[in-house]
Amino acid sequence: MGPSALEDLITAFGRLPGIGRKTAQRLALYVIKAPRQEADALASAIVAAKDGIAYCAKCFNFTDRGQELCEVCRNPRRDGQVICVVEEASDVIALERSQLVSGTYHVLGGALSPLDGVGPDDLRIDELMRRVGDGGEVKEVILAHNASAEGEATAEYIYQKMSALTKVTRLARGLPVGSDLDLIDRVTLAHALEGRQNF
Amino acid sequence: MRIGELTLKPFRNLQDLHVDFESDRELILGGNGRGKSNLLEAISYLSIGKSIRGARDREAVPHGGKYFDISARWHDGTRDRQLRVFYGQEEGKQVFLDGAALSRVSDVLSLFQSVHFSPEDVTLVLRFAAQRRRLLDILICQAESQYLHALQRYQRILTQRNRCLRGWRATPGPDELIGWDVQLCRLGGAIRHRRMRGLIQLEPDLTRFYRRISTAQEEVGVVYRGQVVSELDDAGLLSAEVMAEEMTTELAEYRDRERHAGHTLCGPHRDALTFTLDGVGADSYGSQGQLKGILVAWKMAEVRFLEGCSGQRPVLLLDDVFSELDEVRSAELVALVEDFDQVLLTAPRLPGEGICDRFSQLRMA
Repeated sequence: MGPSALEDLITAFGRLPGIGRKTAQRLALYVIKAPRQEADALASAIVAAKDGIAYCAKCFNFTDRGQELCEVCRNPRRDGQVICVVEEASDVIALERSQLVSGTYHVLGGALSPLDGVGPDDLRIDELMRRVGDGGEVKEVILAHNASAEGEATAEYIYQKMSALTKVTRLARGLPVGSDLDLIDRVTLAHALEGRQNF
Repeated sequence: MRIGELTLKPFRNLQDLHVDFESDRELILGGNGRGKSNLLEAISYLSIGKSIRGARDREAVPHGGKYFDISARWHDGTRDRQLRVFYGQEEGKQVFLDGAALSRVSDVLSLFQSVHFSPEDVTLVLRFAAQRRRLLDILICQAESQYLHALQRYQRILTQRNRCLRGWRATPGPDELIGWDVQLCRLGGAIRHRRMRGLIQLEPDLTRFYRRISTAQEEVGVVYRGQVVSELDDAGLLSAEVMAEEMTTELAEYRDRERHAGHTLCGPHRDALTFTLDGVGADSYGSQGQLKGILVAWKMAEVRFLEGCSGQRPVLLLDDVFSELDEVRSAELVALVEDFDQVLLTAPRLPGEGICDRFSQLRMA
């Protein structure tokens, strides 16, 4: 047992996702040994992020506080007729990095999971319905959900609600690019075989 | 497939055991409590990665110990391989193939294959519907890891859906079920289809083996969801997609009752799988001897089934198989096992002469 301030810091790091006790201890010791400015910078970055980030009023992606819309929704070159639906704002970051989505996003804020008490009303599905219903401008809704049972259930739910209003598509499931066939697990292989295409 | 060496360090009451199986016909002898059954259970751990008896991993840790460790050298048809299953109370369970850890314990399923008969299963498996489904499910998982994935996913969706149903009275509208129903039916259809196909493959062998070991004239059969399996063939089997549609209709019929029950009332998790003797349910009318005959015949059919899937003949493990069998049946059984690659039998004492001379003996102190 060390000084209580150190113990508090270890506990605080340990609460972060993906950080175990050992890593928490290593991070805490690093902070203690680092110059004062570095510790200040870390602390203020955390507080600034917490204070400075808000949610986009339209798609619920992250945005700077004070801005009503996020960067994507503000950009006039983005195709407002296509909405890519994702579970979390972190999914937007991944998709934006790929620069493959020319449309806009809609962040649901999770996936259906009765076990965790998450029902349709806890997700931003009504907001999505309103966006699609408004003026009939939306030509396509792309469901980019996770491949989990919960992700599938959410996608299915949205599809049932929305298929009468607009075209609904989903991401394909198959082989990751650059991987060796003999290293792929059988379930992924089965999906890839099911979704095979003509040359 | 053949198992050559087995080391248990420890497993249940076997603190440090090293066995060399020199022959393909091994008779393991020893009094009660010597660990004969535990030895066979350890071998089946190497096949399915968990206890064939349905025990928890920690129950296989010796009293007062912290871990168990099973390792074996076996021949997969082309070369010798090493397999090790380790479980520690702190470390969890890990499987090593030729010294390298497998990323998932369930990956063990397609490696060393064995089929395990235990007399305690006779009552347990044949009298209870859930255990009969488990019997078939474990077998298909051994043949196809994709089936395990489907079962796990189905179970997850079922749990989510049941929670949904329980909360239903408070929140109006059946809307929320939509997302779960589609997946439940798709997987349910696939599971039912695979089970049916498996039973169609197994049934002829089951009947044939049962005829050989039973002295009476009765005919054994299998019925799944009211369908007599022997009347079906692969060509007549409905596709997984059609079965999924059927399940959708079934769910719609059960909707109101499920609302009151608060859980899912139809699907593969509730399907009836029954063994029959001359068309009558064996679970209610079969004698203990008849049930044992059915289970032994089923296990032999399992060996054939797995051989058909992988091209490799699994090791047959028969625990205390002679108890309750008369001499004629015992002799018939011994004649039958001639067709199998490797057979390991246990018995508390030397069985009749015709049996001993065909097996090499291994005594457990």
